Amino acid sequence: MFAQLMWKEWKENLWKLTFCGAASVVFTGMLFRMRIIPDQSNCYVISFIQMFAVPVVYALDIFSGEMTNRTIHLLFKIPVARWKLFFSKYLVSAVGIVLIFLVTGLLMEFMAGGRETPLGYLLGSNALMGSAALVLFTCFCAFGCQSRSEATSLVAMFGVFIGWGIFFFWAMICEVKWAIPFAPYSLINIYRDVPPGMVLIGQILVFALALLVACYRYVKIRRYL
Amino acid sequence: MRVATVVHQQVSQIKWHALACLALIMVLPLEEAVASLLDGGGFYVLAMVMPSIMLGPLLAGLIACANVQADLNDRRYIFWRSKPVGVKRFITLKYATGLIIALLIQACPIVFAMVTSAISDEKQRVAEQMRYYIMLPGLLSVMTYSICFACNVLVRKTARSWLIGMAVACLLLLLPFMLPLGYKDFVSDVLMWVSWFYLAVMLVGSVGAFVFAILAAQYDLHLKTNLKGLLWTGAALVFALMMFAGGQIANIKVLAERDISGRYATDFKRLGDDMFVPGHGFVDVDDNKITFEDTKNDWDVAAAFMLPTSSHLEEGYEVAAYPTYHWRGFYRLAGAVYTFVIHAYYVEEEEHDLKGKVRKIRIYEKLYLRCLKLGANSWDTVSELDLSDCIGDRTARQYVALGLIEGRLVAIVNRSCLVLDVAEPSKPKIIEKKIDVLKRIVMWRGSRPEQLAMPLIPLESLSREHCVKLSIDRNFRYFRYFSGDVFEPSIVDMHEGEISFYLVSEKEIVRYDVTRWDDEKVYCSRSAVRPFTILERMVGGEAYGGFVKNGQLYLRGESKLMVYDVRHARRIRKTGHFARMNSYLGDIEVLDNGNILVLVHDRQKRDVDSYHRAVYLLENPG
Repeated sequence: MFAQLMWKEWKENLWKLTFCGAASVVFTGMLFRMRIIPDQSNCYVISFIQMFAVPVVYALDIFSGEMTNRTIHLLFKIPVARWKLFFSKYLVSAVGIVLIFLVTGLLMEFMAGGRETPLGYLLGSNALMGSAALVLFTCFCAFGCQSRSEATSLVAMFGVFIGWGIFFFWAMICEVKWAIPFAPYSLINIYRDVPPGMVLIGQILVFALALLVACYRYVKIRRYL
Repeated sequence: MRVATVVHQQVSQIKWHALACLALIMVLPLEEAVASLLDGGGFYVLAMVMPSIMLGPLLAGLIACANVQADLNDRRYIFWRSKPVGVKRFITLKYATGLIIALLIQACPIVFAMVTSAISDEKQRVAEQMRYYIMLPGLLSVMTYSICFACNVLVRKTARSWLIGMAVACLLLLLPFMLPLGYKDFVSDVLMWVSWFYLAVMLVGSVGAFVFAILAAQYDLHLKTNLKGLLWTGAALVFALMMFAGGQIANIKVLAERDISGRYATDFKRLGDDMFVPGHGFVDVDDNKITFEDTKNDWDVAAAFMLPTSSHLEEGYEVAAYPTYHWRGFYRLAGAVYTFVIHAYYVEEEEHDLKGKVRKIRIYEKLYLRCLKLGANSWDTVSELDLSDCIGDRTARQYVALGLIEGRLVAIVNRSCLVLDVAEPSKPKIIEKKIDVLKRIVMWRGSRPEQLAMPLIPLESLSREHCVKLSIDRNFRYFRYFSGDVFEPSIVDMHEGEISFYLVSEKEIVRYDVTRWDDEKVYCSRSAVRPFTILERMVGGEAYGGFVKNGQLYLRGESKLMVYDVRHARRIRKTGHFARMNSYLGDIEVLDNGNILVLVHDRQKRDVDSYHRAVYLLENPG
């Protein structure tokens, strides 16, 4: 049954993967072909935009779509645990986000061919921002899993972006080093005074906590019509 | 329905959204103020005001959407039309109320900064920075608010309206960068008193959106959207914009590139038909690959270029050489390689200026034109000509230009000029020499007068066309950046009996055609103007000079090369643009097959020992 749920979510959200993948590939190809700015700067620009745009595209109607299309009561009637419903949606989105960043990173490496940066550097930078995007999306799920419209999903997503931004700025300005590893933005440029290992642990903790909260809140949905 | 009632209702409808936006915009300033207080610096904010104000345009869009949705969403759409107030009045009051609230919210961080800074005696710094804070984000907020308002009236869905509104606002802000206006910038002409050209875009955009919102509400216009279609349309628009921008600023194909380094690899040197890079060798671009050869046509000039020259010092004098080492031309004459240089001998004296400060001045005593021949181990002086009578004002900077024209060596030294026969370089013969005949050059300060006249160089041993060309180059191109320029490249184009030249300012290219000349002056009239787009001006720095070759004008900026076709239908038509933002362009050479060699210097990787550079072979876009 879970496989069938995954298949259903995959088909419903395939257009997002197609759209984000096509847009990323085309713009990466264009920027790396034009080469007005260095390859490293191109990589940062593309990855930075992807880090915000891709989760927004997935977040807009991954949960609220069922509400606005009035299919959620049908979904909840399927004889399967709600946490499986949640994870089917989440996993499809997560796989999509990872695939998009992976394809973009590989294309960057292919087009750059190591001409300005060491081989693997662009893929690594892109992967770090992809990880940040995944953590941000997971945090969105914790707030937006009960959203009833695109507007509330968008508000939740931007709330996550801005909230983590404020947290990160506060940690940087006030030099609260223990807090920096918990902000997804610390993955973008590993803060020099904070070991990468701590950032990894911090992100795993945030990711796990957000996933748990999101799953719990989705399971506890009561008012959906 | 009274105005106060409508306004009160609008304020009540969006009060929670306004409070949420206020909280968002004030978080960073409050954080900074608290952090500063805890550090002992006082409760004030300075650095976080600008970042929080930049959120203003986004939040203004949100308030606009919330404002419209309060009455015009699908469930209440019939209800609001039954209110005893006209559509136009209602929409206008709704628009104005929301806009004022949005601007008030945006003003809060500024007021907070001013108040807290006044209390903490930080007035001076705040006052200096406030003038930059208020204007631009405020205008942007008005624009985004208006556009999101109009989109929401049309689309009637909050999230999509906000996204569409923001996309339209970004498009409006980007378009002025890219429009290839064929005439002088409209905003510069009409709104000369405005320092920001975007004022027109923001004001006109806001007014237009407001008028459209009223019309949409009055005629019940509704645009049904779906998310997929919107995203694909948006992506297609961005793609089209990028293609358009790329066509303007990055359309020259790179055929090959090669990294080089070395202290002396600063430019290309011509030796007859061959070209070499000092320290690397002769450049070979067969099969569109860049390779370097140590020898070509039995000449090992690449290595020989670094050979020392014989000393030209004289006791009691300092010596300056023109052209300087990097600007010299190398000529193949009588089966050997020669270069020509003028040595100016001077003494330094001290003098007091009007303020009593001591400064050193040079007094030039002697001037010699020397011919150097490439020998086995050094450059040897083979002939010398005394040109001390060409010095003129002995305390003034020496202006020198020389090069080969029609097989003869032509030299311009201050206000004198001479032509020499150098068929036998060891025995140069003076064909013509005129002392103190050249008039002052006519300064050009970037304007575009209809008519121009400049002094003619009165050399009778050269053809009149070459005299005219030399006069134009002397007036506008020589001595502008370096003393000691050789004659090539030139800004003059001679084609089918017509002579024209091109002047480049930071804003445009202007073409002048030579209409006539007499014994003293050359007369020209303006025939075409090609302004730069904002994008062209921004990417790669301002254009500061160029040259014409084979009907193509090659313009260079700090980090860019632009190519124009100047003969087709007598217009100046851009054909190519090459830019590298992380580099600055060194030398540019156009090969006989039209392709272009560019030497660029990498800004980031340079250090004392390895000057990191690259040579690009570009396909000529013409």
